[in-house]
Amino acid sequence: MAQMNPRQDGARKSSSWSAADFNRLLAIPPGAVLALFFLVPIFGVIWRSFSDPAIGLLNYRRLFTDGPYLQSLWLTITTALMVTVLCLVTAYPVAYVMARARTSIQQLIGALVVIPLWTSVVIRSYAWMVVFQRRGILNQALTSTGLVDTPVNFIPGSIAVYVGMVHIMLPFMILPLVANMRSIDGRLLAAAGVLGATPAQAFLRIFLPLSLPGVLAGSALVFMMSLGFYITPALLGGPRHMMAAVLIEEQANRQLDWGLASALATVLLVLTVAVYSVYVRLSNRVEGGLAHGR
Amino acid sequence: MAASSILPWRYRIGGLALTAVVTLILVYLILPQFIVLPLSFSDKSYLSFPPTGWSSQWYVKIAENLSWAEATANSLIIGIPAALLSMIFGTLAALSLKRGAWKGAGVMSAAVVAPTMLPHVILAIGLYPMMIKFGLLGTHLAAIIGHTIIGIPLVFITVTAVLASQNGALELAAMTLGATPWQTFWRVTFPMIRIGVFIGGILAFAASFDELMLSLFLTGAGTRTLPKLIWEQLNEFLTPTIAAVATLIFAFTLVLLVIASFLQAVGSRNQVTANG
Amino acid sequence: MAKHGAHISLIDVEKVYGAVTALHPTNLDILPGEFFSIIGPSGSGKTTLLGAIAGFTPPSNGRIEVDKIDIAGLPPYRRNIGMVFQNYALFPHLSVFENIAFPLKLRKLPKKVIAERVAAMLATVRLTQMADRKPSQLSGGQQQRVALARAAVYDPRMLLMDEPLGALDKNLREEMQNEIKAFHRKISATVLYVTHDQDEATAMSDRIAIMNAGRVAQCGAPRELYEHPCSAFVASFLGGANLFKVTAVEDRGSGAVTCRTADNHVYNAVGTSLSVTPDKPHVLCVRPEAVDIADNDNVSADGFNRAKGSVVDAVYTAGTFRYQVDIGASEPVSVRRAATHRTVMFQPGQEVLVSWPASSTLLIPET
Repeated sequence: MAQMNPRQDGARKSSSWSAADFNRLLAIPPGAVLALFFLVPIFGVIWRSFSDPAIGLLNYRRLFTDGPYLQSLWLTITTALMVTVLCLVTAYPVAYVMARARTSIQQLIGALVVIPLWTSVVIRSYAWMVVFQRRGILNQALTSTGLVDTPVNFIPGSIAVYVGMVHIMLPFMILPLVANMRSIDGRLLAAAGVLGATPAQAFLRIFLPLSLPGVLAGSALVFMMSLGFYITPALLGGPRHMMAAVLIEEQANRQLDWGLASALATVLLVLTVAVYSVYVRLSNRVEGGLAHGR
Repeated sequence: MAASSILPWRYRIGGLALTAVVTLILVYLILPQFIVLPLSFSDKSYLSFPPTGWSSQWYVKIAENLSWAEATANSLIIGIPAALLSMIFGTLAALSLKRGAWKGAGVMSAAVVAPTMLPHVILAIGLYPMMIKFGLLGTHLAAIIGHTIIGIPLVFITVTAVLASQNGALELAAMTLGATPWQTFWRVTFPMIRIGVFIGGILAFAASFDELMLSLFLTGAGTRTLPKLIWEQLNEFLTPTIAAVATLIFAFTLVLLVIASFLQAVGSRNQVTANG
Repeated sequence: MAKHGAHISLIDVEKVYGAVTALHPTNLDILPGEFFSIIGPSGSGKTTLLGAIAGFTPPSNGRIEVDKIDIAGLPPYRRNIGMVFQNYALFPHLSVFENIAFPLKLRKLPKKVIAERVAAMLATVRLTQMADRKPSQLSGGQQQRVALARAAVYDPRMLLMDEPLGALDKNLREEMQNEIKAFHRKISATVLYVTHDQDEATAMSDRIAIMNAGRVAQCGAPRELYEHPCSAFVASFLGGANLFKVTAVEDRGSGAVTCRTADNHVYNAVGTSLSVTPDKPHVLCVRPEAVDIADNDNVSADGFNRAKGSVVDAVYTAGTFRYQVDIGASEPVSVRRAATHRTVMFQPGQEVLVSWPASSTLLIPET
């Protein structure tokens, strides 16, 4: 056993070998990169929100007293909530069918769910512009069937934002739901049937409660991503549907009001972290409840 | 299917309704693809749909306009190094946190995954003044750094999943056989996570290739990426050029996707080997 | 081939995790070339002990000496130990040949030497035909043999085996027990074998250490452990045992004692441990095969303990009658007799007389 690797030997010759030491060593490069280019910028934003242009709560006072900013924050939360609910309602049946279908159908649905995921968000929002614009498909259909006389201005507007955002978030709801539903033992439903439950009862009393962890995971993911969403509301919502991320970009890039932009970003950060910790709490309770048979 | 025939009629109706609803939702999911593709071959200069005639003029326009080629080049110059760096740092983080036995491992793993959860706009306005200070604003390097932060968690998550499915005793076995930690990594651990690392790298590249927010803040006139150029065009004039660009990007992405799923298939075959 | 196996000495080896002591200070002396087994229930510390010797979990205190040299501070890859893992831990991306060659390549042996030694090893485990296969293409027993070959190809002077047969079904286990024994004779290394299966350990080992709650409960040859268990735990862990709680002891000298049990029977017994641990609660231990069973009106000879009772359960398995007889104690007495003993089996409900020699009745500490 001659010197096999001087690099390792030098560090460890004297002390006894420990796997934990080695693992910690591996963490140094990624830890340093993340500290410098992720944590420092984030804390920089928080610091700037309290110090630009002057140290104090000035930016937050403006944020919470000035109508438009508060309105935008409120709109961000309600939009995220609405998008989450819409996604859940549309994703659940898709996931249900996909999880219980035969393999070929599963693969087909899987491909249809994943393809949009691999298409640029900008481009998908562009496609919805084509649908919703004044001379777009939707207005053509509406006018030609005589439902409306003059084309409707969908853009900028909330309907277009919802349709576009739900479209982008849907895969993020479907995939956790499917992962969870696949893990539900199909024999449980058969057992419920044998015990006298109708299919509807079996679904409501067995399947639905067991799918809650998936519902929670998907909802948390969609809600958090929706909170910080920029592209779709910026393209389809315009000033009528000004979500927080759009406002931040505008304040920073165009108004050059970095203090206010940082304060808005900090609020968004706190919101996201809060949603995440609520999710962790809830999912522990749901899983714990399931584990104890409730 | 035999079982469904003994169910009351209302359940069969319900089943049909469910199928119809799911089909509609799936059509909704795939609709943008079916709008963008035909639009890119439209003969009109505005966004009329369905197109009344066909032409390949928009593809020619892309080829003639150098800014598209330049933006594509920028996206590659930024995306490839960002993906490679993500692969290195993401894999190191995954290996280090695999057993999570050391103090501070919890904080570390939260910090690694956090960039996927937090809105990019926060990171963007955080990095912007920093890059000014370093004199990097508008350079490729600034965007590479930003995109690496976005890519690390993607590699981390993929590699962690591979590590979790792998038998931990293999590394101990290698050590009893005389392999140093370094040799254990190169001869045992890495060959088994290699595919996960590559798939994570592809995901990181795709994320960089599609990233808009960081590019909006960190790139300049000479370094703007493809999504940023599309974005600028969208805000100025809506022509089918963008549909043509989108179609090309989609074709490119499809190639990446096929490579990734091929690797995944190879990986799962090896996984069967590992468990066999 | 190694000239001789290693002499392994554990001196006050202890492992503490925070407030939990996984392994109390432990001393063991494993002789060169010995086949030594460690058995015990899960959580008894046997994996910790093995990990300390292999170098995965450095002990908190104590020395681990191999031929009088302390290796406690060495990393696993400097210890030159062969180890067979529970699920074999064969490298899935390497062929059988490459798996076995792996430790030789690390030792930077010339290609030709590696090829020769792997070929010799493949022949030993009868897998020459399988050299180019991947582990996944082998059966469980074949994977097991590759794991053995890989652990032994560099002539380590000790071989650790962690539940190596745990993943195999019953028939294959017995076949592989013989295989491992034969392998051990061939390579002459010291083998340290960890299992939870007491039959496996008894069948294969020169000596066994039985562990319980982070300590070695008893260490000795299989027969010694079976016939002279030092505690109720050892007695019941290694084979079946009838245990009677003792409330009073009268010492009749030279190891002979008379005991009153908790259920008010009086039995004669032998008790050597009494002088060592007089204050501990004791039990009487009688092996099922030492108990005779006869019709109620039979009279048994002197020097026997006897009790009247009724059969509560009677089972025939593989040439043996197994009875449970209620004699008014808290547990029924287990009786195991060869089926050649009688033509007709006793039936449940039948009144019987059970008896066993006083010389087979051991007075031992309860813990």
